[in-house]
Amino acid sequence: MTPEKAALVVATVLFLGGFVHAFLSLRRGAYHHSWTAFGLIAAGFLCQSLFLYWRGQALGRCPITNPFELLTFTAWSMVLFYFVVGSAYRLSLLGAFTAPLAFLMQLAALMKPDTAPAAGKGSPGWWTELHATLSLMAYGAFALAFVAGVMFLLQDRLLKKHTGMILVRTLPPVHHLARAMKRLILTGTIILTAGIAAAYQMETRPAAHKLFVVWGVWAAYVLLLGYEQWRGMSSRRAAWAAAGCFVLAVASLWFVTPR
Amino acid sequence: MIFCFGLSHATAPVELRERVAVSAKETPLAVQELTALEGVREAVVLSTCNRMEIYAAAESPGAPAQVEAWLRRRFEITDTSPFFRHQQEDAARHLFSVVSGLESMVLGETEIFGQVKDAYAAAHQAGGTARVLNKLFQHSFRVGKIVRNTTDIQRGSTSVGSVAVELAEKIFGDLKDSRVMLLGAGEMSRRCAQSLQSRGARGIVVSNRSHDRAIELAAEMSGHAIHFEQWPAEAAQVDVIISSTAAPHTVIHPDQILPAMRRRRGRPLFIIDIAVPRDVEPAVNDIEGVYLYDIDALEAIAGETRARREQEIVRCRQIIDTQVESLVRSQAGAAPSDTLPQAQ
Repeated sequence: MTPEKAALVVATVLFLGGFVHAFLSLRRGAYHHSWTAFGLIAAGFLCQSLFLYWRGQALGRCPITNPFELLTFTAWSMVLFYFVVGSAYRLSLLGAFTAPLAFLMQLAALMKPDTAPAAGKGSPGWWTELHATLSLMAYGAFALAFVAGVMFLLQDRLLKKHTGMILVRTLPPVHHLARAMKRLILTGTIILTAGIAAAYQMETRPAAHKLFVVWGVWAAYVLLLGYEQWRGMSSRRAAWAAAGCFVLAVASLWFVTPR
Repeated sequence: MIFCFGLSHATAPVELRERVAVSAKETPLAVQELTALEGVREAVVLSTCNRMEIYAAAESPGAPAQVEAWLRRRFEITDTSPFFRHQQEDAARHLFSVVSGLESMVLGETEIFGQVKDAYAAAHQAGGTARVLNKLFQHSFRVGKIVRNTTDIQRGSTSVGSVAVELAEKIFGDLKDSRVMLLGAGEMSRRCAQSLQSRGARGIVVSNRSHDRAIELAAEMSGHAIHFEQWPAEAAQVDVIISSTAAPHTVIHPDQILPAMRRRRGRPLFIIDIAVPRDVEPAVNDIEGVYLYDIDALEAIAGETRARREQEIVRCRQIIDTQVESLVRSQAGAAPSDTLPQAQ
């Protein structure tokens, strides 16, 4: 196994460890006592970064050339947004819910064949790289919005049913989760808009069906934001809509990624 | 030797506790009087509304009798039987329990930690503490922190008011921008609103069938009063509604809350119904973004927390025993008069 692949395997194990630790702490109602889960996710992120750096150096371009790398880059973006949003909103528990998704994305990546192009093949063009990088970063933001939405739905249900006070005390306030989710969707949509704009500057424009799919994902999120802004939407519906849009975004990867 | 004399809410009625209370102003003098007694080298006086305790380090076995005589003289009491007495490691164990909130009226409350710190600081400034009590009290503060951080003895809320505050914070996060509306001007809703105010809630609105009473309560809480018919229109502007009217039927219905929720644009609404019979139709809880808690739901959460704290006592006692042993071991190398031998 190459060192870069080993780094990714270690990252996957660390995310699994973060998830297991957070799950056990939550069961004991003692998540607030520990920085361990945060440390495990941070270590996993460092391993991912190391992999992307080594692979980027070897390829001489942003390492998003096959599904294996795309999933890794998207998972990396999601964890990056977690560090930005989690600290800004004091949503430390977001990590407990980010870890399993990061683990699953990483596991799926490792199961894909790693068919990297030969080293030194060079960049396909600045605009192409910018388009792909921004689009995947937007997907990272959408993934984290999905995580915040799931946490919102759980906390909302517990508060409505007057049950599970231990978990209620550990989860962040519903208002904070709703706000974080909406801002992540807005951030992701802005980045995706920039990514799509970059696609129109590429020397060779992407295939029409690919552009159609990306525009579809963009339209779904814009509709969600527009409806929420102009007509008003309960946070619960917004969370369900964010989950639906994220499923659409994940499915779209199948159409737009090189195989 | 170290010993402790004291009484608390568990051993003495409030009349006696009032009589032996030592104010913060009087504490330095009391400490000086105690250390002036024959054989008493160091002393700390802890006086709160629920307890009065004297911790002392002495060099002669007759010192406890001297302190008891001082108590009789100082507070003009003849019967000292309600006072408990602990010596050596039992005195240390008792102090550790007090600091950890295990001896408090509300099990696990945190205020006592600060009160013990203040008592120790006052005694230290008055020259009443030296090597033995300095070590004992410093160790007790460490024990208090360990107990707080490693057990659930101080976790959760144990009263209806504090549960309401805890839930409000789990809905809105920060209460600084939250507005509260009181429906009905009962004592319990007033206390509940005060709890929310103490955590930063502002803009209290009072609505009552008797408008004069609403004005009176609003003035008391630095809020403003509205007529009872106006509350549905005001509901869109507030974040918490505390209802405690004396109405024999429900006064808050889904058709009054739905329009308010549409105007709130996704911001949640917390409704606390502490009236019996209930003021709020249960179907209100089905509206998205509305969190309705009646008195039974709040009491159930408070009761659950109290039960959980009771279960934690055993773990706390184990920690305290370990810490007493650690203190005894650390004293092993000290001068003979400073050591904490096994209690007889």
